[in-house]
Amino acid sequence: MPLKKTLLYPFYVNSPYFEGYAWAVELALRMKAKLQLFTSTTIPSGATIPADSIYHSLLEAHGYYLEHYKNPDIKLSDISRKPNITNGLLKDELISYLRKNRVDIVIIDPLFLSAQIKEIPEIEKQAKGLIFLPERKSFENISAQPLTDHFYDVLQRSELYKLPENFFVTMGNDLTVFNYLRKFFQKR
Amino acid sequence: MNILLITSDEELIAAIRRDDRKALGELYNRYYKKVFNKCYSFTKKQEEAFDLAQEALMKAFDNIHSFKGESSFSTWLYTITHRHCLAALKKNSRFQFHRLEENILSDDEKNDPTPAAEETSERAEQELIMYSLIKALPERERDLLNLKYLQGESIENLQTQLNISGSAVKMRLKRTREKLNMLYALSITYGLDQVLGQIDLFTAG
Repeated sequence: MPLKKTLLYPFYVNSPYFEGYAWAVELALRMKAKLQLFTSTTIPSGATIPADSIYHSLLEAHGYYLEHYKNPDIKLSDISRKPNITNGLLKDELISYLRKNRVDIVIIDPLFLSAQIKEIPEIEKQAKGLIFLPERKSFENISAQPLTDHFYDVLQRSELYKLPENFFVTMGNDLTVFNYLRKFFQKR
Repeated sequence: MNILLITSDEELIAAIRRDDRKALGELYNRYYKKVFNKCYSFTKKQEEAFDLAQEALMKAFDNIHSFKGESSFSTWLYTITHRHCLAALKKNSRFQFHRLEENILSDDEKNDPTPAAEETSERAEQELIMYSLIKALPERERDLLNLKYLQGESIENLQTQLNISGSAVKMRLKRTREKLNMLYALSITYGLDQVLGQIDLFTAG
């Protein structure tokens, strides 16, 4: 039996990360992968955020996912996500984690990218695959679009690095992608 | 003003059954913190409480179609959460569960918070008996216990809600706990069914 894929989404809890989180959850669902939520109690300014605030925030983020992405045909219990809350500097902890653990895809949102721009080459070196999510304006029409269209719009605008071939096979097996692609052919 | 804020839980559930995602998000947002706090009251560990809260919330919202409205949604949700925490206790003795205040543990048991597996199972049974007795209490006493221990309301809030003094709130809680302890002792001696069958005798006045 093939191993379940692991996706990892690093974030700072004091940044507006809900949209990136929700998209990462949706990707994990479609890939039938586990999602690691990676953060630290230490934020870039050096201040500390209590762990219970982070847990509350993650639960709140999931409320955002339910409101904007939740497909009524999908059971919530199908979503596998696990928080990994460290205490040190997030960039160092993340690189150390990637060196020691198998992570198939790291999902980087623009806010994390701008905070950790110098560490990106090292993260890219350690990660098996990377998805850089597009700028926040790409998420602005989230409520106006059908769920699937929005998910694939964001994927289309993301930058993908070192993704394994089976990623595209998995996405191709997702039947909802055909409805999305068909719209392009209908427009021509 | 967000119209959902003035919508009742039952109206939100009806909307959720029509695949309204906003209603789903609103209902979830109303309760996730309380569910987390309830799980934390069992485990006293943030990470374990988060895992249990996630699972309990997912279980409830995946089965929201089975909510019949015989109780309030909050009671239904907290019942699922409570049972989920107890099931985790039975399944995994690595969870350290702490009772509510005024528990009936002996001094030795109070000093040893890490029971062996067989003691953990026995404790789960004890919790189930206590839960059955709480359900059988008069509504006023049950509601007070729910407000204080399930929903985590402070004495100050209860004062305001019930329009009585803080010492009166504490006295009512104390009497109810003492009554529960007495009922528990009777249940152990004569059996839970016997006690539930004659609960009116014990709870009158």
